[in-house]
Amino acid sequence: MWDKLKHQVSTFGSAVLTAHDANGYPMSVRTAVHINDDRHELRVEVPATAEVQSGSASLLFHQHNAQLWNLRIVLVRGELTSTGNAWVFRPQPLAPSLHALRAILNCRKTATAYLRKRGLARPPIPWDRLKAIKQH
Amino acid sequence: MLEHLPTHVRDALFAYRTCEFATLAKDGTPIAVPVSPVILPEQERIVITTSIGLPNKAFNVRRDGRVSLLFSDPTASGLDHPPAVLIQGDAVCPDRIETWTPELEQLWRMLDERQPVSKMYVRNALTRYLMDWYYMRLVIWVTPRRVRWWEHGDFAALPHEFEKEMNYVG
Repeated sequence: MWDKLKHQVSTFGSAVLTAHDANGYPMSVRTAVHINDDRHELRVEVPATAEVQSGSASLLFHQHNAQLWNLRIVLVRGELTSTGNAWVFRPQPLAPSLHALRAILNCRKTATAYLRKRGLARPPIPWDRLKAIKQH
Repeated sequence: MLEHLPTHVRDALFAYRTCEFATLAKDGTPIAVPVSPVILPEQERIVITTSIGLPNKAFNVRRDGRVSLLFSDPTASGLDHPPAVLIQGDAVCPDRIETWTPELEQLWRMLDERQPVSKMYVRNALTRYLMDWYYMRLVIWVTPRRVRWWEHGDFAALPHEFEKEMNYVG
């Protein structure tokens, strides 16, 4: 698990750290991520003015190209701790990644369950309007 | 608040292709995902939408409306060294499935221009069958309460700040 995470982290230039602020709101900052291979931890850079609190947190790695495509997204949950002069993120295991078609079918299944739970029919999609936008 | 932001900060909000939208998960963990927001300064609100095939952020908002949006990846924005902008606010998400609203139309027009590959979702009967769930949307309305930004995306610098009462902290 650690090796897979380490490899993923190394392919991104930075990450978005999301933690709680002093009022309990989520807040995010973009940070470099430094791998501590011995301790299976990640060191992150948190601005002193960010008001970030220790505790449960997450790291989001994502990127897209100029056409908002070739999307890559890796989300890691974990625990954020201040060690006095640095911030350390202890990651939880990564969720398994899915092939694109499997991910689409999973979303379809989730949508069907959402409708079924509420006793709703599958709503009609305004395909003509959508196609009109996309054919301009 | 959004209407009173400095021009270069507002420009950044409109130009960034994505922002990192954070909600509080069931166990309280703050989780961020990339989304394409619709900025509505005249309403002082931001609209995030999600498919009922990916409803977790909507569920999170219904449990706890505290959210944040970070604009920190300027890829394809056309801006040189824009500010990174953090917006914290309060969100609501009605349990109502939408397939066409003015905000959704704005989103689809924006994505058509910025994400041309998405045209394939409506291309033929097979893609429409596979992707119909994508167009069944839940609408999340975010009211900003605090905005901070770091010039040039430099998080080591002191941020500027706007709070709801429009107190500008330089």
